[in-house]
Parts: sequence; structure tokens; C-alpha cells
Amino acid sequence: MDQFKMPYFYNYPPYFTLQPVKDTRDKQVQLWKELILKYCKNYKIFIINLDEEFPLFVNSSIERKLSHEARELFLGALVTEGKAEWLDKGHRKCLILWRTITDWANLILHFVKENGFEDGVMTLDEIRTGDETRGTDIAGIDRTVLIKALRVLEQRGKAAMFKGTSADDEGVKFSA
Amino acid sequence: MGNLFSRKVKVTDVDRAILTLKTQRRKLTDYQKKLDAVIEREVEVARELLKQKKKDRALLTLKRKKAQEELLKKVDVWILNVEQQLSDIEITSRQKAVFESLKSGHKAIQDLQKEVNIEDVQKLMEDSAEAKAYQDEINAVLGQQLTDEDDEAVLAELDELETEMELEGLLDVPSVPTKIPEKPADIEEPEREKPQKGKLLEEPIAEPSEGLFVMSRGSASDKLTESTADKDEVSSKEVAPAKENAKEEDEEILDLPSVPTTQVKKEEIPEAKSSSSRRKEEEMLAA
Repeated sequence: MDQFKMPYFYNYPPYFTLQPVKDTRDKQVQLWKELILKYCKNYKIFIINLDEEFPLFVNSSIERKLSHEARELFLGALVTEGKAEWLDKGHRKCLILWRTITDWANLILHFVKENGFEDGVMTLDEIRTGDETRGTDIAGIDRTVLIKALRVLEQRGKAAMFKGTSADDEGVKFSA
Repeated sequence: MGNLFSRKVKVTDVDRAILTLKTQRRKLTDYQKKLDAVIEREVEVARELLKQKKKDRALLTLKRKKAQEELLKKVDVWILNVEQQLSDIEITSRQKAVFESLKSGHKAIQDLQKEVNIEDVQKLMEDSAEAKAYQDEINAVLGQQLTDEDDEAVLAELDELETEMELEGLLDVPSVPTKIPEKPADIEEPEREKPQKGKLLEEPIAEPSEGLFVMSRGSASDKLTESTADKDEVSSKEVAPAKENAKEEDEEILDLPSVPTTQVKKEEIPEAKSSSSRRKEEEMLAA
């Protein structure tokens, strides 16, 4: 994983405090939104749990960290934009969509076509961690995101999810 | 995606079987990972026990480790079996697909053949043979008449040409000589090739004096071979005899005393292309 380069504002204490003036705050929110997406994409992070410490929200070198309120605000802004989703009603867990569900679906479909998995069956685990997807962008995809993307493909008639005999084998059949 | 005919992807029992096998494979792989970890730990424990001089316990641990390794090997075989079956399913379904497509191809051929009746074909062939014969007959009749007419026309044209040539007084001249009999004519031969190359034309004209002319003849004959070579490329068959002649002439030319033909040539060369004008030249020179 490439070392992530923090933007300049990350080392300015004011950015860790919610700005009272609307214009300044808008700017602040904008910068943080971009940073969160870039950061998560770089490290392939899919879920931010607000109850746990998240390294991005803490800058020990300037001894600052985002307040809970600020975190929820920034993530909420992403949710409004469609680039994130709250996973629970209490807004504790947030799914970060640095690639939209549609993009993920297209990516999977492309992979399926490129690798001759049309009419093939794959387990969800295979897609996430199997040898077939190793080295592709799909490798390591979050289960929730994967299922959402596969649902999109299902609606397009390109895939069908199904369960096997035991509860824990979930598979998907592709059709391109 | 606004898909009007969003067909459902059908999940068959085969797909379920594949899924079960794949899940089984994953589980076995996970199991192997676990065994690996256990084996590693056993080795650690054995090392610790040896340090504490508990040889018996260490031995026991190593035995356990050995058993785990045996198990690992078994799991390897299982995984191999599962994978074997997976690829068998794959191959069989491919075979089925190939069979299906061959079957539909065969059906298509049959359908097409149904539309063509062998008797119809035979009749068609007979009919067309008849038509062909009829056509040939017409051709024969028409062709005969045509050739008769053609012959007449050709003869008429020949007569016409003959009278024309008689009028020009050229008819009594012998046909184009392949070998040029007279020496003066030979001398011209190199120049006669020149009209084809503009540059060559100028050389002898610009050098009227005797000494220079000998030199120029040398170069002219060099160029002659060049030009015959050029000609070769164009139409080798026709030019071949002419080329031989030219070579003979070259040799002769070197022995010859130079004849001041340059003035004559000046006039003649531009129109020296045709054989009739060549003949004129010969006459003039002979005179």
C-alpha cells in the first residue's frame, strides 16, 4: 500500500475544529470529504466506525483530533452526496463509497467478462479473497459493498445470488 | 438500467453443486491454515520443553505435530479431489455446450436440405443443360455468319492498305531487316536508339569533329547497352533479337572508319523511330 500523503491542511489545527462561519465551514467540510475518500481508497477502507479511533481523524503531531460532532458532520456530508451510507440508524458505522455501487458493479462485470466467468459460479469469498481476483481492484472488497453491487447486477439480469446447502456458502452466478 | 427484458439468471442444480464444492474447497483451505498454525505452535512448544529438559513431553509434542502433518497431507488430497471434480463439472458442461451447438448446427443443415429436393436438382440440371445446348446452337449459327462477314471486311481492309502503300511507293521495299546489311547503316544504329533518351541525342550533334566523334561513339555504344537494357525490362521477348544485333554492330563500329554522318543524322534522328524512315536513310546513304 502506498504511503498516503496528507494534504497541507491536515497540519493546521483550525481544520480540526468545526468552523463557526458558514463559508469557512463549507470549505472545511469540502476538504475533509475529499480527504476521507482519498484516504479510504488508498488503504481500501470501507467502514468507519465512529466508536473506534480512526487514524485519519487524529493528528498526534499537532495534538489535535476531530470531535465526534465533526466526524459525524463530515461523514453525513458524504452520505448526502451519495458517497457514503450509514449502516445503522444511530450513525455509528459508516460505509465509505470511494467507488460508487454502480462503479463496483461495472468493475465486477468487467472482471467477469475479461476472465471468462460468464455463466460461471463464484462464491462471495472467492470474489473477495480468492486467487481469481488477486491483484485486481476487486480483491478485498467489503462484503456489504459486494452484495450491494451484485444486487445491481441482478437487477440488470447479469447475475443471480444464491445460497448453497449450508448457510455460509453464498454464491453468485454470472451471465454476461 | 431500463432493461426491458431483464431476464433472471437461472440458477441450476449444477450451479449449486459447484457452489458447494467451492465452499468446501475454501473450508478445507481454511482448515489447512489452522493446521499450519497448530504445527508451528507444536514446534515452539517442543523447543520450550527441550529447554526445560522435558524430553518426554517434547517427544510427545513432536508426535502430535507429526500427526497434524499427516492430516495436512490428507487435506491436500481432499482439496485436490474437490478441484478435480470442479474441473470435471466444468469440462462436462463445456462438452454439453459443444454437443448442443453441434446438434443445432446439424438441425440447421437438415432444415436447409429439406428445402432442396434431389429430383428438383436433377431436373434443374437437365433443364439448364438443355438451355446450354440451345445457346450453343444459336452461337454456332450466329458465329458462322459473323466470321464470314469478318473475313470479307479483313480482306477489304488488306486491299485498301496495299493500294495505299503502293501509292506511297513503298511496297517494293523489302520488309524490315532484322540484320542490317550495309555498314553505313550500322554506324547509325547506336544513334537510332537515342531518340528514346533525350540526353543521348545531343551528344554526337554537339561533337562534329572526327576525333571527338570516335570518343563519343565509344560512349554512345556504352549507352546503347544501357538503353537496350532498359528496353529489356519493357519487353524482353521482342527486343531480344534487336539487342543481339546491336551488340554485333558495336563490335563492327569500333573497326570502322568514321563516316561524317552527323549532318544527316541531325535531320534524321528525330524521326528515326519508325522502320520506314530508317529505310529512307539507308537509301540516302547508299546514294
